[in-house]
Amino acid sequence: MDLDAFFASVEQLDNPELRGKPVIVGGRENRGVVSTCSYEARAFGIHSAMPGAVARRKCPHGIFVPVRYERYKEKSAEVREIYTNYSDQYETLGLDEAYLDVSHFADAVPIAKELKQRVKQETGLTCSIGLSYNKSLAKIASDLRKPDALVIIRPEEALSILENLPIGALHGIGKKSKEKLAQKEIYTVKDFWNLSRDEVIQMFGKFGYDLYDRARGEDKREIVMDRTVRSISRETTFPIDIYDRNDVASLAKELLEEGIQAVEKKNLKPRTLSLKIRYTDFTTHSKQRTAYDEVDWFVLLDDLIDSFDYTSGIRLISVRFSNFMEETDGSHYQQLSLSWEDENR
Amino acid sequence: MKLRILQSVLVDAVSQVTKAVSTRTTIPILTGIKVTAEEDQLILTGSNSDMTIETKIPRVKDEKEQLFVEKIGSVVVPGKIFAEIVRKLPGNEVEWIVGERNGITIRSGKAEFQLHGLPSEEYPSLPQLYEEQVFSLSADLLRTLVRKTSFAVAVNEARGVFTGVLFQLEEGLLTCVATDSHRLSRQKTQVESLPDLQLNNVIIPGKSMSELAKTFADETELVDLVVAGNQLLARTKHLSFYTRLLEGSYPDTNRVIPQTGDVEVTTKTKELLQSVERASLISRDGRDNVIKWTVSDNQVQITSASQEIGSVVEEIQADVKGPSLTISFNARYMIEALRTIDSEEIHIQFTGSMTPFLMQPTDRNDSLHLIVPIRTR
Repeated sequence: MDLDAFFASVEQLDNPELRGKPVIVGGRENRGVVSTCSYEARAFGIHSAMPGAVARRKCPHGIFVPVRYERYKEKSAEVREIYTNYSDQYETLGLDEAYLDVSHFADAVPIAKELKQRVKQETGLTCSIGLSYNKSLAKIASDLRKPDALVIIRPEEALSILENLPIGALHGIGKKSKEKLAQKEIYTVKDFWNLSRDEVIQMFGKFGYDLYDRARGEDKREIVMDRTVRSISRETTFPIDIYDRNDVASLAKELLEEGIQAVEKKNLKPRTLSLKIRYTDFTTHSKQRTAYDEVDWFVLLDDLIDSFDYTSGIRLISVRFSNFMEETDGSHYQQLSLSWEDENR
Repeated sequence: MKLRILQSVLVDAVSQVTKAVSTRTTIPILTGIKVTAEEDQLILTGSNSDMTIETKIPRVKDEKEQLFVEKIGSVVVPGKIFAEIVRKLPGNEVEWIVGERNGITIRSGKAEFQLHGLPSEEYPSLPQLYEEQVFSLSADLLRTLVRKTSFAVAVNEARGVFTGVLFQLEEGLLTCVATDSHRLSRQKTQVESLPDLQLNNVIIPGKSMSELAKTFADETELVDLVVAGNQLLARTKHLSFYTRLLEGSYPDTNRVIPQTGDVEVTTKTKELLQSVERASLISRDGRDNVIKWTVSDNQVQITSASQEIGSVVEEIQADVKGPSLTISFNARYMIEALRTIDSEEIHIQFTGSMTPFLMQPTDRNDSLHLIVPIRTR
């Protein structure tokens, strides 16, 4: 299931005066990007990840609102409360999407209908549900007739539905992959079928294996419960290009502080710190350092900052923690501490 | 202000003070370097309000003329760009003129730079320290103290005092302590001071400690340390390093240091370090870098196991007194401590599997390291 234009819908829900109007969440700063926009705004050609300035040009009377992440989290939790009644096997993807395993129902179609209705009634939000026999097809189905849709792909229809889809409908095919495929004159899933498995692997590496299968309606992935956090990152796009290493350093430090807070809140112990820098020409470089045991992240960050080039302007930086230590390591062991009793009294 | 100076001399001085120059622009003038030309010396100052470095370039050094001041004066130059310009100047000599409205001209070889300076009156004045509490030690000893303690400070600690190194002075004996509550390092050394000078609870931020060592890296003379209010000043004839001190009271560390040991191990420092480093190859991926010691007759067995990688066992010869003992702890704490010990042999005292143990070189009693074990379930 996929909540329709989720962030924008929450805004319209909370502020009735925004309903029926082009609402754009994010992108208020000149260089920020659009996070989500309402269907009214999409009519003007606005889409997520579009630079705010472009969105403003396309839709000058659009209503730009700031991102209220905490509020979306609340609404997302309300929705989860509902669907967990139907299945305890679920996998969330961001705040607005989730895979549910409903194979324990003899007929899942009425369940899907009921779920849609309850989400609408209890949260005021609409969602699109794709119902099928694997994750890839369920996802494709949910995207097929947004918003407020229920699309079912049965095994016998899978190939005929896939056949006519543009190649971008497959999960994992982004802009770059589309360009790559366009060079081979591959625009639809049907075109893609002409490639051999080896050719696909050559083009997409390991991911090619899965892609080859998914284009044929095959996907063996299981629902991954409580998807473990793989990375935590914080990024910022600068209102004006930055050329100075020290300016980058002080902003990166702020991001690092936020990242450390997020990591500590989740009680995670990361081993790897990455710094990503996007230059004005949109070339993006990312470097990382891995540390063993305890480490001063700020020293590591300084080292990373020094390893970049500052001769051309920089528009975005991102700081990312990953490679988290196994939780189980900690559960067996407890580092004891010196006791400074009299201090605490 | 008008002067001529050797380029290499200026480069060195600028790189010294740049360490303290602020990169943040909260106080814009602190992103600059303050320059004061006096008749026979040039003074450069860099500061980030926590830390200030001041260096004096004398007219003559090692019987060689390096500075010629034609007209005294002072100005604040933009720090970062100035440092880069000075490094890249083409000539051996630099001519430096400050004109009206703090306009700066720098000439070297056939290059001429015009920079906008700021009035030096706007630069915060150095803390005026009441020089009553002063003691001295050699720069070499100061660097050793920093090296042997500052690694043990807390990196990210809610209790601020543990991010610093404690200095205490009594009857000419300086005690430096650093701990993050999981390990502790204490060094003592004799310093030159008035016999009745006593210092308590002087806490130097860990970051300042490392900068202090770097600042005096090339010095050979005695360093005076002045403590006044919330400042510490470290000073030689031509170099002054000011740092803010940490607030809060450092707990009494004597109470946590065990006086006796039930199990005592004496062994070779270098062999032990290498062995622990080997065991750490397996343990370092884990959350706490845990290695286990089993101490028995005349040997210590070091083991470490990781579910993902595998395991290691190694036995080292040691002189063991007392009953057998098994204890687990963070290998990194031991590695970092052992790396600072220059003595050939080391003495380790245990009082139990769940209590801190003590490591000391056998040939001296001015150095001590404490490690708190890990409880295994």
